[in-house]
Amino acid sequence: MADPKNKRFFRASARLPHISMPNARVIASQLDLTLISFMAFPLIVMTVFLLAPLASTLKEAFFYHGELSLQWFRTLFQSKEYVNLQGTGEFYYIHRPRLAPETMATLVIRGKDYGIILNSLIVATSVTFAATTLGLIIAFVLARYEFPGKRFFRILAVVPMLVTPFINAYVVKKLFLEDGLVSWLLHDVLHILPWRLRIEGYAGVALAQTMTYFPIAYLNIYSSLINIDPSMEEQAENLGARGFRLFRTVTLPLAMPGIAAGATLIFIFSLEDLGAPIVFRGSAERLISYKIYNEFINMTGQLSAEVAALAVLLLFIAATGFIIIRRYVSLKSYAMISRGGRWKPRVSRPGLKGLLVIYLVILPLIVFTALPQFGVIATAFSKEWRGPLPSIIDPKYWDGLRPEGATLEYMVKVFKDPSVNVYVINSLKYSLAALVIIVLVALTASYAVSRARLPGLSIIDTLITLPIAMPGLAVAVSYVFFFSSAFRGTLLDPTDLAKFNPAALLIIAYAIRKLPFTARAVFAGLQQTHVALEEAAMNLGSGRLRTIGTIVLPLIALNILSGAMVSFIYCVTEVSVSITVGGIKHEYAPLTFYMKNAYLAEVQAIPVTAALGVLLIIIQLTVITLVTLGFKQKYAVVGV
Amino acid sequence: MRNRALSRSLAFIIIIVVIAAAAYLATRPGKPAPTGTTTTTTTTTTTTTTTTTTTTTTTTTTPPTETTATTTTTTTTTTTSITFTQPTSKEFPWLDEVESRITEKDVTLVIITRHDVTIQNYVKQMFLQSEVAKRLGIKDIKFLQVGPGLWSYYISRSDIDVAWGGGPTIFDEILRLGYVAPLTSPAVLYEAQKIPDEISGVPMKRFDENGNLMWIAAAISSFGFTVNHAKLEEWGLPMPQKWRDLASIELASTLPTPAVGIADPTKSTSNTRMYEIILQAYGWEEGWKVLTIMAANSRIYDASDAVRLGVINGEIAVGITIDFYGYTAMQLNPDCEYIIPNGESIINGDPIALLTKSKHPEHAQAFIAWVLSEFGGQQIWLKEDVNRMPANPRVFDTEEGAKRPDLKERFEKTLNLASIPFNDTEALLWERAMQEYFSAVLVQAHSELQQVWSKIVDLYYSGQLTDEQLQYYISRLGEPLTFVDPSTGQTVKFTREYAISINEKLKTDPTFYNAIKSAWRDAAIARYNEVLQELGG
Repeated sequence: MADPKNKRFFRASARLPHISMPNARVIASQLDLTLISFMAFPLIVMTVFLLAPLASTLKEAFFYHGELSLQWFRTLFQSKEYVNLQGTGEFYYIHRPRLAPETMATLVIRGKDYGIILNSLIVATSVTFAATTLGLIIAFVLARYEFPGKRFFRILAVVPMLVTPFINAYVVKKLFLEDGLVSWLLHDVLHILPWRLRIEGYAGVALAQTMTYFPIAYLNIYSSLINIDPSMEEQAENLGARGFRLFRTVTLPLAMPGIAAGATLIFIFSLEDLGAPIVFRGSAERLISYKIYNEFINMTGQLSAEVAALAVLLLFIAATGFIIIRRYVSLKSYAMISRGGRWKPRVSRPGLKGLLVIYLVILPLIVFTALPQFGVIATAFSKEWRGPLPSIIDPKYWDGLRPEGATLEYMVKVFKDPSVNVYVINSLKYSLAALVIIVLVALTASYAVSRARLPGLSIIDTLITLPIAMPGLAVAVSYVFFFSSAFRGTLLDPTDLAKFNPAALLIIAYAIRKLPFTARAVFAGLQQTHVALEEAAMNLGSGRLRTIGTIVLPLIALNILSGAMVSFIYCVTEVSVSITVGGIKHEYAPLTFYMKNAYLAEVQAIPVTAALGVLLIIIQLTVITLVTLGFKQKYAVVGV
Repeated sequence: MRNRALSRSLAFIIIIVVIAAAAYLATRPGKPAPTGTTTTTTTTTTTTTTTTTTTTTTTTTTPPTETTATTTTTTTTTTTSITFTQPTSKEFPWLDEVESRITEKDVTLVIITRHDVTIQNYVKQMFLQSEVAKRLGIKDIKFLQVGPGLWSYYISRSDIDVAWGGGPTIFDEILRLGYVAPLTSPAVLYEAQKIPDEISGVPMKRFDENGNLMWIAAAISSFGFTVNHAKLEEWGLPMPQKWRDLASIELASTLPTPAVGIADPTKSTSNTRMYEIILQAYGWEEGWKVLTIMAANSRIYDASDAVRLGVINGEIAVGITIDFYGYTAMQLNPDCEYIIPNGESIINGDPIALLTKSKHPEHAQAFIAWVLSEFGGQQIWLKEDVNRMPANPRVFDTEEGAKRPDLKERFEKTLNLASIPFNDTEALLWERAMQEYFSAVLVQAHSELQQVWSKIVDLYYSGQLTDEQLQYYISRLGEPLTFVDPSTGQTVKFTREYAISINEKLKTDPTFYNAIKSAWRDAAIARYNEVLQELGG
C-alpha cells in the first residue's frame, strides 16, 4: 500500500536543490571519497545498463542507411498491419451456425482489429479506464464503510496481485468460453443471457488485464482515500454538499494522486503485457508487445530496425501516457490543511440498501477478479477441466467424500522433476544475484541523494525510478542492440550463440527493472532516520564508511530487507525480458520462460504451468507475510 | 535496545530463508550417480569381443569399412547385415565395440530438435539411465528446440552433435548446406538394418553420392486433420474428407467464428509440409486458391501444437495436424478423431542425423543407434502422451510394444496408405518462398482476408451470390499476387518459377526479405479491401 512515506520520496528529492544553496566550502567539506563513490556507482550502473542501451536502440530506430531519418516509423504508420482506421471484424456478433439452426447461438465479443499500434493503444486505454474505475469503486466502499467481513474483502481484493504469468490469463479465457463458468451461470443457470457467451480476441486480452491489474488502482486509491483530511469533506458537508456531489467535487479530486499513480502503472503494465496476448493467440496477435515477442522468437542474429522502431514507439506511448496522466493530476491537485496525520477516518455504517449493494454487487465483483488465482490453484490440483469447473471442485467427480478429480501429481512434478525444477533454480539464482546489485545501487543512490546536499543530485533519483515506467520489452530490445555491439563476442552478446549466456544479461535486466522497489524502501528508511545520529558519530571521529556501517545500516536494515524481498518476487515473476532474451538459450532459461513454453507446447502441461503458478503464489505469500508481519512494514509494492 | 531486537529478527529471518532453501534443495532428486565405476569394470570385457561387419555390394547401402582395433570381416550377401559376436549387452550388441574405441567420459551431447518437451523429457529419463549412456560416460543431454527457420543459424554457430526431428525437408536443407556428417559407426549401421529403406515409396534413409548414410528416419508420420465431432455436430458441419474440403463453403458457414485451424508455416514444419502437399496435389494456381480459402476459413495459430490444443478444447472443429498430434488429441478428448485425407496424404520419415561440428561423434552415433533400437528410443513413441509411429517395426515385438496393439493397428494402416506422389526435391526448390509468401499474404493480412471472405459467405448464404459468382470471388482472392519486386522494380506475378528464383535470396538478403514481405502483405491487404469495396463494404 503506497503510504505517505513513498510520496515523500519524490517530493523531497524534487525539493533538494532548494534546501539551501551550499557554497563551495560546504560542498568541498562534504565530498569525501565514500560519498563520491556512492554518487558515482549508481550513476555508472544506470548509465551503462539503462541509458546506453536505450541510446543504441534510438540510434537503430532513427537512422536509415546511416542517415538520421524517420523512415522506420514511416514504414510502420503506412502499413495497414500497423494502423487501420477502418478496422476489420466486428466488435461483437451473435454467432448462429448457418448449417445448424437448432444450435444455441453464442454472443461472441472479440473487439475490432485496428492494426497493431492502434490495438495496443485501445486495449491499454480501456484497461486503464476499466481497472481504475473498478479500483475506485472498491477502494471507496472499503475505505468509507464498516461492515461485517470487511477484512475478508480487503484480503480478497489484493488476491489478483499474486502474479501467475500466462496461467491466470488462461483461466480467464477458460471462464469465458461458451461452455465456461460465466456462460453457464448467465445462460444455463440464471437465464439472464439469451445466448451463450464467449469472450476472446482483444476484448479477452483487455478483460484478463483488467482483472489482473485492478488491485494496483485499488491499493493506490485506497491509501489516497484514507489519507484525505476528514475536515475537507466535513467543510463541504457544512456548505451543503451531499452524496455524489460531495464525492465528485471533493473526494474524487483529493484522491486524484492515488488514481493517477494507479492509472499510470496500469497503462504501462497493460501495454507491455505478454501473458494475455500469448494466451489469446489465434484471435489477438496484432499488438505491439506480441509483435516484438514474435520477432524475438524468429530472431536470426540481429533484430531488425523495425523492431527497434517498435520498441521506441512502445517507450514513447508509455512515456506519453505517464506524462498525460501526471499532467492531468497536477492540474487537479489541492492543498490540504494537514496531511499524513493520524486522524479518525470517516467511516460509516451502510444502511440495509447499502449492505445489499455491498454483498450483492461489490462482493461478487471482488470474488470475480480473484477467480483467476483460485482457478490457477484449482487447475494445479485437478485431473482435468472440461466444462464449467475444474475437476477438483466439480461435484460430478466427487465420490462421496473422496475428490476423484483431485491430484497431487503436478505439484509433485514441480518439486521432483529435474526437467522442471532446473528452471525454478535458475530463476532463484538470477533473482538472488540481481538482489545484490539492487541493494548496492539502492543503498548508494539513496544515501547519496538524501545525505549529500548538492545541486543536481535529483538526476540519480530520477534515474533509479525511471525503470518503473519503462516497458520491459523495450529493455529487452535495447539490450540486444546494445550488448551485441558494445560487448561483441563476449558472453553478454545475445547474437553470439556459442558464447552467449543469458544468465548475466537476465541478472542485469532484473536488477535494473526491479530496482525502484528497493530504492524506494531504502530511501524512506533514510528519510525516517535522523541525520543527527550520523553527524554525532562523525563528530566523534568515525569515518563516513564506518558511520554507514555501524549507524545507518543497522537502522535501515529492515527497510533494505523488505524492499529487497519485494524486488525479489518481482524478479522471480518477471516476464518480458525472461521470455525474450532469457529464451535464447533454453538450458539457462528462467522459470517464466519455461511456463510459457510448457503452456504453449507440452501436451497436458497446463496443470504443470498452474502448479508452477501455485509455487509462485507460495513464494509471494511468504514474502508478503514476512514483510507485513515480520517487519511491521507496509507492503509497498505499487504506486509510483 | 532497538538494535538488539532488530538483529534478532534479522537473524530469525535469515534462518527461515536458509531452512526454506535447504528444504527446497533437499526435495530435488539427486543427480545421476557418476558412471565412472561401472565403466571401468566393463571395459575389461570388451577386449575379448569381436565385431563382424558384413557389407553388401548389391544395394547402395555400403557402410564404409571400419578402421578400428577390432577384427572386421567383409562378406557379400544380398542383404546388409552386421552382427557382433558374444556381446555383453543383448539389447545393444554394438556397445562393447563402441566402448573399446572411445576414450572420453563425462560427455554432454547437444541435440537440436523439433521434438516437444514431452519427448525430450522421456529421452533424458530413458537414455541417461540406459546401459549405453552409463557405459559410454554420457552424463547429460541438452536439447535446443528452435524454430525451423533458425536451424542453419544455430548449427553453423555452435557445436551441436545431433539433429533430430522436424521432417525430411529441414534435414535435406542442412545436408545441402554441408552440416551433416555421414553415419559410419557400426552401431548405427547395425540398427539401421532394422529400418526399411522405403515405406510406400518414400525413402526412410538418405544417402550421399558416395553411398554414405546421411540421415535415417527414427519415426514415421502421416499428415491429415483432426476433427472434433462434438463441434462438427454443434455447428452442423459435414465431415471433411479431402484437403479441398477445408476450403469449402460449408466449413465457412460458421464465420466470423472460424471452424478450421491452421498454423503459420514459418513456425511449423509439419504445416509447411501439408501446404506443400496441397500445392503439389492441386497444382500451383489451384493450390493457392485452396490455401487462401482454407486460411480464410481458419483461425491461424503460431504453432502446430496450438492447432491441436484448439481442436481438443473445441475452439475449432477441424485442425490440420500431423498424425501423432491427432492421436494425442483422441486420447485427451474422445470427441476428436484423426483423419487421413483420402488418397491425398504422404508418409514422412522423421530423420535423425549426425552433425559435422559434433565434438563427440562416437558418443553421438551411439545415441543415434539407441534411438533407432527397439529396446531404446523407439519405445518412447509408444508412450501414452507421445503416440508416434516407430520407424523400427520390431518395437511392437517388445514387452512395451505388446501393450499398444492400438498403435500397431494404426501403424499397419499407415503403411498401407494410399498416398499422392510427392516430390521432395521440387518442394525444396520453392519452400522458403512459399512459407514467407503464405505468412505475409495469409497470416499477416489475415484480418482483412477473413473480413472479406465473411462478407462473401454472408452474401452467398443469404442467396445474393450465385455459385458462379462465388467461384469468381474465390479466384479473385486466391490467385497468386501480382506485385512490384522491390529489387528490380518490375511488376511480377508470384508464379512457381518466380518463387524458385527468389527462394535462396530470401535466406541470404535480409533487406530484400523485409522489403518483399512488406510488399506482399500490403498488396494482399489492398486486394482484399478492393474486393470488399466491390461487394459494397
